[in-house]
Amino acid sequence: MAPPPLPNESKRENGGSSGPNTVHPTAAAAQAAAGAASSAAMAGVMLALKALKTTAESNGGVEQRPRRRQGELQNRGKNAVGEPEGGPAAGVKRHRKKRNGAGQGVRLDVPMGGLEGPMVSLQGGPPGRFQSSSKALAGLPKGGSLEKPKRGGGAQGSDSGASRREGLGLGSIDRGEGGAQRFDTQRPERTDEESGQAGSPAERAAAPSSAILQAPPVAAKASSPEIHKELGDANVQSQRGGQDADGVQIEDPPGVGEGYLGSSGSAVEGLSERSTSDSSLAEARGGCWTPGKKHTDEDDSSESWRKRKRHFFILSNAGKPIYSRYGDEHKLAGFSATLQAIMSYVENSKDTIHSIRAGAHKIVFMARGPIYLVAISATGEPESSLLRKLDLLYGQLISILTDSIERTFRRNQKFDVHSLLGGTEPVFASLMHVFSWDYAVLLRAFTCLPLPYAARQAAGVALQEIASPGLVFGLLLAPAGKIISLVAPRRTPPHPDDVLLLCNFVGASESFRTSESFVPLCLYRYNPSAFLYAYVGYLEPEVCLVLLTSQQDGFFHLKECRAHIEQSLRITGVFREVAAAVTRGGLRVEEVPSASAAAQRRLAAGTETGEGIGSLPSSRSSITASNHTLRQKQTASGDASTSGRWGPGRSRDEGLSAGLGGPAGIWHFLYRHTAVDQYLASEYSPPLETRAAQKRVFQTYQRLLASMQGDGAKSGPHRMQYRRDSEFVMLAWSTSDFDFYAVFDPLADKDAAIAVCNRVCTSIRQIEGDLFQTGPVPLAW
Amino acid sequence: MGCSTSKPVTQQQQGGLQSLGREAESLDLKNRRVKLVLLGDSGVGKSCIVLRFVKGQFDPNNKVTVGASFLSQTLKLGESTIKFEIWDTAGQERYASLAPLYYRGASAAIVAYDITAPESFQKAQYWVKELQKHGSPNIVIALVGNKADLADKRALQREEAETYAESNGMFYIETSAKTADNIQELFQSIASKLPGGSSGSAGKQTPQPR
Repeated sequence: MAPPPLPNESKRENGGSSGPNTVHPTAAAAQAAAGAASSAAMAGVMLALKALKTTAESNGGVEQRPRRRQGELQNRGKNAVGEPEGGPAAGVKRHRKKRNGAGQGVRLDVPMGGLEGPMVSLQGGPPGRFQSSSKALAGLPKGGSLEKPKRGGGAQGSDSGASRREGLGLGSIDRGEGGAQRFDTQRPERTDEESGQAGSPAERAAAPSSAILQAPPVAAKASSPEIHKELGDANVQSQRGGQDADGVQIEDPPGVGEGYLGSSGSAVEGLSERSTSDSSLAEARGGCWTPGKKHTDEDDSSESWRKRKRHFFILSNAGKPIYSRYGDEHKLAGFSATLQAIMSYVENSKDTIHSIRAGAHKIVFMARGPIYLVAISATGEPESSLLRKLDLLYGQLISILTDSIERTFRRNQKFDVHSLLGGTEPVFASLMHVFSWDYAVLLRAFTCLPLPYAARQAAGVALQEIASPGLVFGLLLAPAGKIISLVAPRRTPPHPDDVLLLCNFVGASESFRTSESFVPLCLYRYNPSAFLYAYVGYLEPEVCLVLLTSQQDGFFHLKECRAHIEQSLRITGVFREVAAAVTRGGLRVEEVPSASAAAQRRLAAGTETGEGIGSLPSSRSSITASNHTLRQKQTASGDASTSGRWGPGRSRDEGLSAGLGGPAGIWHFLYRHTAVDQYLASEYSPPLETRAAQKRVFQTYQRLLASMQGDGAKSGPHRMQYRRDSEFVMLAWSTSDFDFYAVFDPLADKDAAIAVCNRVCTSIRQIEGDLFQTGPVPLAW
Repeated sequence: MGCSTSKPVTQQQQGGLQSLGREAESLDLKNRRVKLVLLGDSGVGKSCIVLRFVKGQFDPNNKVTVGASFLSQTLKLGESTIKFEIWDTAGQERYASLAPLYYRGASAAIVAYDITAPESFQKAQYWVKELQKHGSPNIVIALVGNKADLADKRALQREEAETYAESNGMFYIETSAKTADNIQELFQSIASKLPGGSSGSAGKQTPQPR
């Protein structure tokens, strides 16, 4: 089992490669043409529609899967990517053909290993009839730019596919297994950006290739003994990373996130702006992001609209637009009808369409009763992640309207839901922002403001004191959706998705800041059919109280509760602590405790070392002061000189990252506490201070998580992964208690990286009470 | 309208509606508390009127009200004071079915429209009818034409609104939350017209909306 996941992964993620992967020659032609259109997003859809009509002949472009209600996700994963790519022997896995009425809709899943043969037929990349149509639509397919994936000459030839993003001026890095790597170094943005950060450009340029060349056979078994110590026999089932090229194709080059003008604009901003890392999180969460829907003047005939990299649509099954991320919904009626036509065409044959690939674009469909949701993405993100986002998008819709909207639709198909969503543009716009930046989306967890244990307890008690029959949830929110305290009835712990959508709704609605409000709101994981009523009031500019009741007339009671809560929070000094915590921010990689025995030994030679380890940080007095309680606790719980201390004490020698990031070149990490569904993300520190870099990290995690969860590997969930690409070394580690993900400098040493991860995890557990809301008190009711 | 919201509303309409208005009027005539509700189409400036009255602020950035906001402000009227407890409702259609929650038991209502937007006047008429049907019998209704500062874009003549107001037993006033024009006057007029208020005299002191 456990074939190396990587090539699979890269195959999956390589939007551009799907075409060539398709075996059937005619399909290949169709796909090739579709690929040609990759630079114009919507052209792809148009194509897809045409492709649908012609799939009967071409057997290609549309993936159809057997309709299954339950366990759709798993099925998707397997069906879509489950092929072993382990070697060339891996054959073509052909999904069972479904002969539908017209005989259309055969799906071919092409495993990596099966590429060689078909490649030949692709080589010619005969621009079929789609070519011309795509040109007409897109106007700039650059002759299809069908680069032959057979390059690299690797024995296994499992190259992950053509990089044909030239149309957009993007480069990509493809890497096959066993040394069949290839570099497309058309990545001007990246070079520009990073050369300044990590030594000389030359050094930087050398980095990726050496990273690849090193590409050590990585097996967790062979990895650091420390991990084994840590886990004991805790069934570390590491996959055999050894054959992996540890490369993931970087789909979304820097500077070009999703969002053509919007985000790349901000990326540029990010490049020019060397913000302090303190502000970077705020920035990431909304500093230079302005709320509200943008580009409403566009429609599907706009070039700019087509070029946007990630679209989301909600439409009714009658084809009426309900929501579109970009553009004016009314003007998109025709486009919505197109999407609806695609979906119902397949539905008519008692089947369900899941996704279409058109060049670099992936179109993912989801039907929820009479509501259709569609994502069109050229960012190369995994299908599972797009589905996750569609699900959240649906949840947000339900949170505003409840699922009674579905009944309304059944009664009246032509009902115009869009008009019911008046004024919610900021909520959806904010959700789109969350999709690109908020780890809660990836981790299905919420995050707490790091706060001294006692302060969080006090906040929990204050919320608890107002317990009353109708009250369902109580929530104290800090900026950026961080939880100060959350209380819920014992039997119905809040679902992380509900928390996410609630935080998004509250955070996006500016009117809450001006006065107390009372709002009907539905928690779709809690009960999608009924409204709860939310009292929302800001106690301080940075502290928002949300109380949810099932009683429609509960406002005045909750208003009294608010006064009570406000008073007890003031008395116990929670506001002060929160203000300090907001200023302080979260954990930083450069403060990773650096004094484990092993590290000390390694560092012994370093000259700056001793000073760093032994002393409390002096340069950051404010942080030190506010961290006081954290530190006390650490001291109490562990030997201060050996572990558990977060502080800027590391030596530069320890990492290979020219002084950036944390020890051993750790740049960022995520820690998910399984038992409480909460996560912790480190603050972005240099070299991740630009938004472009942060976005790359986010997307890297996105792929890493998808691959861990079995999306992209037949073997299903993994326990541990270590992989390396040109930009990062990534480490993922899943245990029964927590999941840990980290990105490192691409030149990081594996053993050192693993050691650092161990240290981080250990020390997080030591100060768990400050970082997470744990313990029975706040969650009891 | 409000189709989606209606279901849960009916589910939970267990006699709670009145209690939102429980503090509507206290018997103490010197220090009365008055429940006032603002209704009108979205974007006519309801929140701006309230914020101008309560906080003396005007925020040109359009912040959509979500659900309903609650604010209060005390107004001195001669020797007595009136504490307005104001429900500033959202104008969006989906909240329309929740409106009874807020106007039930209210002793005063401001129905606002935008003098530059004729359709908002249609919506105002809808709300007036709604209040006449379901509101308190003695409710004082003020028909307010907001955005008076945009006189050059005026789409509705004052006379039309005045006639309509007169025929429905309301009083009419044109305000501008932006310039604070007539905002105080609006609330003073309401106060003076409330039953038991310092009736005649105060009403005459109020500058007549012209």
